[in-house]
Amino acid sequence: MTSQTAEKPVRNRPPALRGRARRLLREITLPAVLLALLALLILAPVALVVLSAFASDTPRPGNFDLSGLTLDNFVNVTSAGSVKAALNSLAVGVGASALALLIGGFLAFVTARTNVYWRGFLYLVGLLPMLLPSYVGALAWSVLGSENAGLANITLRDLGLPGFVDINNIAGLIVVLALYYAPYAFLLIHGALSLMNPDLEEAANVHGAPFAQVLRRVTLPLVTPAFLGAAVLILVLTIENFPVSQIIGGAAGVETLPTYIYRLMNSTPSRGNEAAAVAIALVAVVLVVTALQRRMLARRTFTTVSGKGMKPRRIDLGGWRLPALLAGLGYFLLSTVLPVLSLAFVALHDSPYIGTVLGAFGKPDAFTAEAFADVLDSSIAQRATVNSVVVSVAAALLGTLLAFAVAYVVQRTKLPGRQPLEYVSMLPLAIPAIVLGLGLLWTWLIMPIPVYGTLAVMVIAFVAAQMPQGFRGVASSIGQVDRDLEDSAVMHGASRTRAIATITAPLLRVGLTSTFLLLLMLSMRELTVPLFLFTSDTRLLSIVIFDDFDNGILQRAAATSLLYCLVILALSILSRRFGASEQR
Amino acid sequence: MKAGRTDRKSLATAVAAVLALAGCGGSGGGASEAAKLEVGGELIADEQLFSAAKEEGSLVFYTGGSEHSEKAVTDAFTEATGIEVETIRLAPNKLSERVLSEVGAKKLGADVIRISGEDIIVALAKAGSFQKAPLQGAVKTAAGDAIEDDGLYFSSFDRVYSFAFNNAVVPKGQEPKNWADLLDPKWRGKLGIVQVGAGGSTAALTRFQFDKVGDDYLKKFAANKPRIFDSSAGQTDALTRGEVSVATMPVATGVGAIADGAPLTIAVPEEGAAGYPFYVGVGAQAPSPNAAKVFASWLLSKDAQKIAVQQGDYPVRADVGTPKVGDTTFPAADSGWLYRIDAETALEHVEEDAKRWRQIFGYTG
Repeated sequence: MTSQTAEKPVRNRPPALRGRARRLLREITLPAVLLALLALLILAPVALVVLSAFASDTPRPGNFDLSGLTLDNFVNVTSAGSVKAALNSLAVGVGASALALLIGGFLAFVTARTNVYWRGFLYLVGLLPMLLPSYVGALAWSVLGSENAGLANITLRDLGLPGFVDINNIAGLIVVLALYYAPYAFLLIHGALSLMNPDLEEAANVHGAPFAQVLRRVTLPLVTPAFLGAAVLILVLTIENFPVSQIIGGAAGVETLPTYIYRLMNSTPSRGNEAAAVAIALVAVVLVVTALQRRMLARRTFTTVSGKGMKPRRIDLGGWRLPALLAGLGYFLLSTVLPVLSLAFVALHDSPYIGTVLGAFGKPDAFTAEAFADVLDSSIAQRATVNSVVVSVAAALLGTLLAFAVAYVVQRTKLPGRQPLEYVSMLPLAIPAIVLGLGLLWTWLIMPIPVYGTLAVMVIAFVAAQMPQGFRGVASSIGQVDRDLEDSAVMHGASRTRAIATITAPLLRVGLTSTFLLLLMLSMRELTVPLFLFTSDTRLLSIVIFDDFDNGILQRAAATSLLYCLVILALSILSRRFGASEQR
Repeated sequence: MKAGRTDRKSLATAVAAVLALAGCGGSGGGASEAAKLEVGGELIADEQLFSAAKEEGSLVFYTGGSEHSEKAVTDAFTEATGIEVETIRLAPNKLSERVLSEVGAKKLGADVIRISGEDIIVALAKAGSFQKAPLQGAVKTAAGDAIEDDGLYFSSFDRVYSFAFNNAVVPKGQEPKNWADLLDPKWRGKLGIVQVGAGGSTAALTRFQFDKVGDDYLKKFAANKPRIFDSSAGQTDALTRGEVSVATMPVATGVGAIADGAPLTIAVPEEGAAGYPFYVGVGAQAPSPNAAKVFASWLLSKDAQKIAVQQGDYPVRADVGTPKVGDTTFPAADSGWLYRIDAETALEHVEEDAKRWRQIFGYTG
């Protein structure tokens, strides 16, 4: 025995050491590669923005002046105007998130867990506004709901009623934002509700808890991560939303942080440095929110998907089946039907000035498809459509892959560097898209890789900007799949890669598909990030619409918006088909 | 509202007629062998330059001018030369940011740049955005002192900043005619104005209002609770739809909107109106340098200057007339009606004026 123990270490030490070193190397490689990738994608642009917050000149290639570092830009952050803008942002963000969670949560609950009438249709209702980019929605609502020339009030006056609709105020801004961010809440909460193990509810039920108590004590706590995830996501997205604040809030004189930043960027001369300083204050706020959410979730586990088969129980709504349907339809009307109809009316009307809505239907020549013909005939619009589709599919695919790799490392491994990976992934959420866009422009102008002026830089920008959405989407799905399933495969001799490929990824197929779809939609809809990156050959549909809107060509903007929504619709149907056939 | 469409057609017809009358060099698609480009007897490009330009076939045009007015110009140029123009339009401030970044990275994609704002053009020139593009004798003489900074860039026309009202909303007999009329309390909540920092245009308007209309004019104007817009394009749209009844308005923007069927009437106020130049330069790293030089020179030709006049802009040439809007011809350039300050004065006042403006309107940013 003694000789054996004496011999063994001598014989084994070198391989053990080598093994440990190899293992360490292996452990570090993956996180290091991912971190380097994220640093290039996200940290470099952010660094340039931070730099410009402390600099006296906006950084540009060939103009990196670090000698004039100053805190002057931050003086602006504490001025009365920006404090007011910050308070407005907070009010708008909190109000819009609460309303969006209410709408999305309600729709998710009735479609996932009740026997509401037209359940399948209401599910679509929850998703459909995703096809309407928020600025197209805002465009439509500004046409529909303004005080003097809004279609709603013109129609009311046609009927001899007083026009009472006025969207151009802080409440209107909150409502429009909530309408178009509710689908985020819907998607996340619906996912959690349908994956939930009914055993837990049934156990409570069997032990005599009444329905309300089961809901409060079991169901709601189980969807907490999804709910909080949605809340943080929507809060941050609404706070940093630029186009809606600009279109609705701009007309109302309600200044928010993003419009304030935009204004600083757009004043003559450009005050990009102060804008960057304001942006950094915004970043700080958002980081605190994300950190709080992590703390709240860290204390508990929320595993709800296990190896056992399950089918969530549906609750009988009884007399509430119809009211629930009507509430859902009301949302459908406000978020999709009325806006689309108003865009169509404006695009088809023969003049940009609309004196009567109902009267127009009596006149034979009140409508013309000229605006649509203009758009369909335009080579710019055709090329922009192709560009948008190519860029979005590529960005969604690469984005989902990267998000999966990062989320897996963060959630499932004990590899070093997990925390930084998560923080860097979530960082773009805290950078207003308009500032991130500038940072990305500077980065890829300086970078020796010649991608500027190609569609590749758009793909890079979208992957960077949408990393948080991709990461959160994949991570919340991973969090719900019991890790024992994958570990069992490894125990039975499968390699980790094989276990991921054959166990975890298939289990996550729904989660990954919906992340891919989410990224696809976000890319198709994105306006602010590519605003600084496009060149004449790489214009996207969103840019073309914004250009027309910016140049006051509202009818063509409306026509393009509608065709744009059709492209998004077609794309989403195609990808759902594709996703569905994959599942079979 | 058929009238709107007819207007657009008639504008196009007028442009075509002008081109025909001017006998635009006979250098259109028909001339296959090398020919020079002449407009109204003035040499725009010699054989060598013009054939090199046609070889290049197209050019990229970065502009801060309005969509509608630039389209009229580029269409006419393509018609005359067969050279295609790809237009990228951005608000002057965004455009300058873009150009500065691209120049720094030596990736400036613009062949020709047109932009307003003295501070902007000076900054662009300083950053090396332009290359010298020698103009042919006759054009150069006609343009006179419009050529600045040793030929790096030149002024192509003066745009006029006035105001306009929605004639479908404002009842007959109530129309505002002069700047002073806008102070009437009946316009309370129905006025629009673009924020001072929007660009060279608003800077010029503000200087004009302080200096010429009255030092306290804007204070009284602000008391009427106007809606403040970010850009004139957005404001024009709101005015067209009747969200506001009266708004300040760059004339060419209004002309474009009217051609598209907007029920607008542009005012020619007795107190005058502000004029501000749009500068043109050839990009330092122009991908199609020959086409760029031809286009830049052509912008000073009689044909191009006449198009500017039709859009309501004051030309830099003295031999193409004064702009006319609707039935009203604007007073002659030297009549004192058009308030025009030199670049130096503009640069001197731009910051102080903006600060005052923001205080008056309680506007942050």
